[in-house]
Amino acid sequence: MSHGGNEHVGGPNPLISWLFTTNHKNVGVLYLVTSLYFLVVAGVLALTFRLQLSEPNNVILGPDAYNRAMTLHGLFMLLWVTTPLGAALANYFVPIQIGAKDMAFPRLNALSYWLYLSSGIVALSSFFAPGGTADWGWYTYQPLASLRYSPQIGGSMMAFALLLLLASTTVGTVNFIVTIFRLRAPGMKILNLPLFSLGWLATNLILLWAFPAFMAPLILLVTDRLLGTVFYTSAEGGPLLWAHLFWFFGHPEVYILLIPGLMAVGDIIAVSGRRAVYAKPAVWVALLVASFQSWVVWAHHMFQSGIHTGLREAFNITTELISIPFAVIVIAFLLTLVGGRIRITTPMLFALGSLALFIIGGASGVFNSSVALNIGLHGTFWVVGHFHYTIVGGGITGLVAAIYYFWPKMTGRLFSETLGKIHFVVHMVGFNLLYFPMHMLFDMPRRVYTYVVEAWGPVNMVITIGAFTFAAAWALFFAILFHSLARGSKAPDDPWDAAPYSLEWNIPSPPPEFNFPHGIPSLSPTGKISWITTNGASPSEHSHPHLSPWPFIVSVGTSLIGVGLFMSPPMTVLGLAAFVAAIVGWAYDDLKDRFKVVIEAIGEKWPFERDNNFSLGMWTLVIGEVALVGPIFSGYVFARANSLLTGFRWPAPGEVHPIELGLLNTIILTTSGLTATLAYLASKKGERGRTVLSLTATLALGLAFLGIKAFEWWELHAHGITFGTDIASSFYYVLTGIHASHLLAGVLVLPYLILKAHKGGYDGGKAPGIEMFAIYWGFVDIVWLFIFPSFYLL
Amino acid sequence: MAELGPVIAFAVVVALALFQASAVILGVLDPQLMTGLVLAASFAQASLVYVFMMHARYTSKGVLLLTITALLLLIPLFLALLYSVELPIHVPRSR
Repeated sequence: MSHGGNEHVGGPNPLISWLFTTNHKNVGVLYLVTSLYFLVVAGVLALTFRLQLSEPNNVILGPDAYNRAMTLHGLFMLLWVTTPLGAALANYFVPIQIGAKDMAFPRLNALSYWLYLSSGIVALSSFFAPGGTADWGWYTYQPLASLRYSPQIGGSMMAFALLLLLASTTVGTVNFIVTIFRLRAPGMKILNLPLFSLGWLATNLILLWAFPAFMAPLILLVTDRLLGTVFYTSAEGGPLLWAHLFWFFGHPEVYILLIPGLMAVGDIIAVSGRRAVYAKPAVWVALLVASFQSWVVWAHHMFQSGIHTGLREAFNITTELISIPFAVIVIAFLLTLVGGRIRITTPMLFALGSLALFIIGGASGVFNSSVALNIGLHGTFWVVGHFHYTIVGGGITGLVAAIYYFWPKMTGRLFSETLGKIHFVVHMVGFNLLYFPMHMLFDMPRRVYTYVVEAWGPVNMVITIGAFTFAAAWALFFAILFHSLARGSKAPDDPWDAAPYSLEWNIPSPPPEFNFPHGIPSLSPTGKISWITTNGASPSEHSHPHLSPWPFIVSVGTSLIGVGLFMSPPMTVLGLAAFVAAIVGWAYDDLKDRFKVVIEAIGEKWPFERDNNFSLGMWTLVIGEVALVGPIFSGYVFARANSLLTGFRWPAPGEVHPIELGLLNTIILTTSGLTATLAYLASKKGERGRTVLSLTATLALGLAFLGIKAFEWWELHAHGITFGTDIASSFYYVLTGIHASHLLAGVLVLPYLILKAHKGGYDGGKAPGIEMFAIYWGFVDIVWLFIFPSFYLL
Repeated sequence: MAELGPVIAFAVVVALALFQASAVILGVLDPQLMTGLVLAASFAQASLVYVFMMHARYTSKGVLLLTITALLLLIPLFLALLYSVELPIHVPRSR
């Protein structure tokens, strides 16, 4: 991808430049290459187990190898391939489509990518750990995934890798939300955005809560495996707790996988049909409604778990209802075609194909919402067929359309339309041969490594032939892309006649480093584009260098910590050293203002006009964290209520945790919340002395709180109350541990803020660092205000 | 005077914490009433910290909207988990 490469990066050494890049387009290219690489890995794993299932009583893979291949295939395709593939295109094109030069936080954007890569490396390394990798299915069955039944180190590595991935995605989500809301060009209202960017905004609003919500059960799983807590192995928690918490994330995740591809399809249909999107406001409303509804359908995955009948009925209805907004979207896309002068290009073929496959997957989804049918079809290949039609048909095929659509802009090269059309035929034949016959296997259980029923053999053979045909389609896809890079003719700036439709087709192919060589784009109320320049020069010419080593080094350190933690302790020490050095280096760069982000804050900011980028970033992060802490508290309530039935006696107030100490810590922490707020208010007035004093007081109070908390933990351990004593101690240690680690992070940031304030860094009345800290600290206070009654008083 | 709001909020939060602790230690209230009051006090404390400390000088309607959405999304999970309590049958009892 030479065009997207050095032209964007510059710098002395291309390799170093790629490693240290913070340019959104380069980060997008890195995401694209990495996610496609993971797609190949996960695809090859799928081919191995399709070979195994091609006929009855096969012995190509044993049960363990089959389970590992299946687990990695599912986890990688969902989390390391499809979501990042959307992120790749979004990284490259969303800033351009909204009229921004870069993301709001370029270094965090790079960090997000490198953490994603690190997580993938840790996950793949788990293959080589003693005992192999996780083999508990992508859903991570409980208590199968507990140490008792799955003691292999590779399983813990996989859980750790997932946590890293979630951290990466959360950082990326915050960045995208701030970027889309705060960096839009003048006149670029939300509804002026192309569907891909609108869809990516909706996706990120789901991501903001979905991935932290997944972090909650994962943290409980990791502590069960590493510290001996009993969340999923006790009667009060158990597999039902995991099922609720997992699917609470798991179903919104389906829409995270689907929406980017589906919305790109809408853009391609409009551009190829040469018509505006039909009823675009309705599509946007439908997207928002579906995003919200995605949070109230998860329990249809649990109809067979024996949950309350009323719950099953409720989730039956909510699941049926979610088909309505998607029907609105699909109908709008189809009506966009009516009366259009349609061009059948490769992206258009894939867009139409994706829509057709999604309709099949969506329709079979409605069947699944019915409790009666769901119970009959649950755990069979019918369900496998359904969700592959939705995710691979609607999501990934849509993203293939998007890659073809955006390719000339990214590389400056055209691809062979003839080869592209052949690819489409092979893709559709392979796809349908692979997934459609699965519906005929509505009586064959999934998640079995072999079978004895001869009648299932022929259908399975067809499916396997389909799998290899589909793999050939992907091989052809990569060949077309490589051929385009090597021999493709030069692409014009606007190969699809889409310049009036969105901004990226109004700039050179590939785009220059800061995207807009003519100035800042501005949209008139009629949608006409003009360019704003300052002093005769484009504002885009004044910008920061797009290089920083710290995101890369942070992620190297994290990888080493991750792999070393399970396989080599010295590696962990090395990783920790790299991590700390990178954080210090990052802070030092900030102190010296070495990495400047120049943002022309002149565009649209609704509904965040009163925030700044930094405060909105922190707000978004802490509001996302509600979805981390909230589910754990929900689990606590569930376990506590369950204990009434299981006979477990929850400790009485004051019996285990001294009320006086809890009260003391409440007063200390609340006081520190006040001093943090006073520091912010003083910094706004430019009062350096008061700012430093208030921050120092906050530091002292934070340390006092942590000291008392450490004393409490010490006392509990001395009295034999450990992580795994019972469900009450498990929740106490994990909730207070998560809270204390948040507090510790704040305490570690405080010396930097104090130093910067002392040196006059906040004298001008602008103190985004302190404002961010005050918001964060307030959130930490609030979490404690619920921990205190939960464990000390009730 | 911008500091007045956070200072008053702080005083009320501390007073509520003292009330919570003393209500439990003294144990003079009906247990259900006490639980309700303690939880209500916690929600009041959280609201005060949110409004007067986290927002400090301004209120952003976008942030408010995100916060409300986040809290709304958690309600179904709470309800679903509570409705699932009747089923402690999924795991071996031995610990």
